[in-house]
Amino acid sequence: MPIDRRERIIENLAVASALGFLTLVIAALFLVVDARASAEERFLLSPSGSGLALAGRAGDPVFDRVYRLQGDDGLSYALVLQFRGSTGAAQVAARLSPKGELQELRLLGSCLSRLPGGGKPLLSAFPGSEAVLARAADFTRSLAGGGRD
Amino acid sequence: MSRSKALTMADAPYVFNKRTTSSLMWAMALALMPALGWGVYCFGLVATLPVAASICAALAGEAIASGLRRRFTLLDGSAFLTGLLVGMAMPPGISPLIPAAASLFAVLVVKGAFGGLGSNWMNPALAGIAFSLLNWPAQMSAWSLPHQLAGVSAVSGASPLSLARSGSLDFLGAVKTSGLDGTITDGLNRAIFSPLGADLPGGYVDLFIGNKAGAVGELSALLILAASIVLIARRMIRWEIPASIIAAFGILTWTFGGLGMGKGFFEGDILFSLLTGSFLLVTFFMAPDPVTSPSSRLGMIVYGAGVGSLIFLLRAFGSSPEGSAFAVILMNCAVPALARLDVASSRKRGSRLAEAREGGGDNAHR
Repeated sequence: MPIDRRERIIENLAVASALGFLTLVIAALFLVVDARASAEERFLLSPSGSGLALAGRAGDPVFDRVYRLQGDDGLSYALVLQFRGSTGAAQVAARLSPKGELQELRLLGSCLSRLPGGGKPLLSAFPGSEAVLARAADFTRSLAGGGRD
Repeated sequence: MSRSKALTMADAPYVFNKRTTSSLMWAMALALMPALGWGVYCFGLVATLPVAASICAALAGEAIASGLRRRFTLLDGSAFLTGLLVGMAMPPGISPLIPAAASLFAVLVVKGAFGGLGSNWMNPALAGIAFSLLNWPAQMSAWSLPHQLAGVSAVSGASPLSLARSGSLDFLGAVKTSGLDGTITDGLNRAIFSPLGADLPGGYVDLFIGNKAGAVGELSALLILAASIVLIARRMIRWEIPASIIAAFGILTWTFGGLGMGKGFFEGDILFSLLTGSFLLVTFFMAPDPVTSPSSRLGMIVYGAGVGSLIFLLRAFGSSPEGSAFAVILMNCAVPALARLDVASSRKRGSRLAEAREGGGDNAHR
């Protein structure tokens, strides 16, 4: 193989390696961003952070991280959901039993000043939120049924 | 003089043009920067991660592919533009590994495996986007709201297009509007629409400016249109393809678009459909790709009409609210057939011209 061709291949491979490394650095940076988002969620779900552990990641467009919460009243699962509809957007903390039953729905924040409180009135304000909650319940049941608790 | 210097061999076409492929690619990338900048402003610096990873992976893929061909094509701008377009079509909070994988697929498989720039039959950026839509559908639909609308930290939500698709919500009722939208809408109504007896509802200005949930680089219709106008004026984009896409899509949306929302014929919301999703970015920056689109005017118009019709059909009946990427890829498959159609029409034109000349000659002879 002529020298210039070999040099060209080496040149290309060196550039490809450097750019591949840079891609991995960017991916690592995202892990830091993700860890910060997770810490923020943990704080929202349980300000003391006690008894809260990551149980699984759902990969759902509306919710991702689901936490196992060991409280005084037994085991439950907690997650942060985002509802959006004609009335605006709201960030909600939900607590579900291992069977997928809704135990608590707490409004964390919204972009509207007037919104109903937790529970069913809040869900009725956001069409489609029942479906989101059903998906969260399914995922919680799968976590509990998977023998992870 | 050596033999190699005496003879220079080059592929057709033998037309000299100051505009190189490289200058075209870099100009298009530069034109996209304001739209990308708006996305970063709306979502924060986190939004730069998927774009940066996508560009790096595309360039790395190009270095490998061009190395295998014993060439160095990294600086021609095509891989950079592919990476940029893939990154701009990503939701802002997505893991950078997904756009990186999409860009590698686009550059190595779709472009590199077919012989590099000019030999690919499918638009590489769109192939990369379709690759990630098929492999990571949930992550690809995890949209975030811009901080102007979110009001609370890290609110994610459905894009306006997927809200409209859900059918449970009215098109613009689902879109929360900003204060700026109200001010501009009121001004437009007072100055233009009210004297004409019409009324512009709230929400369209936000969609036009880019105050909506969506991908990093697809938010601002205003900036994408401004960039497109500059590129069309400088003849870097042919106007026939975008014009025919918009015409076909607009007519079909107006005629049948209302049916899915419980309305009648001729009640579809054209403006909403044009300003949401990746429609404008795909129409102006990906569909007119000179490598994967027809080169004749007739071919371009048929191709554009096909893309526009397919976008409407995929949005109305497909499994995903967004169908632009797949529509263009499907029409890329039809480009060889369109080229044959054009050859046939050129032959007909040629024979008609010859007949006319002969007729003219006969008349002159007489």
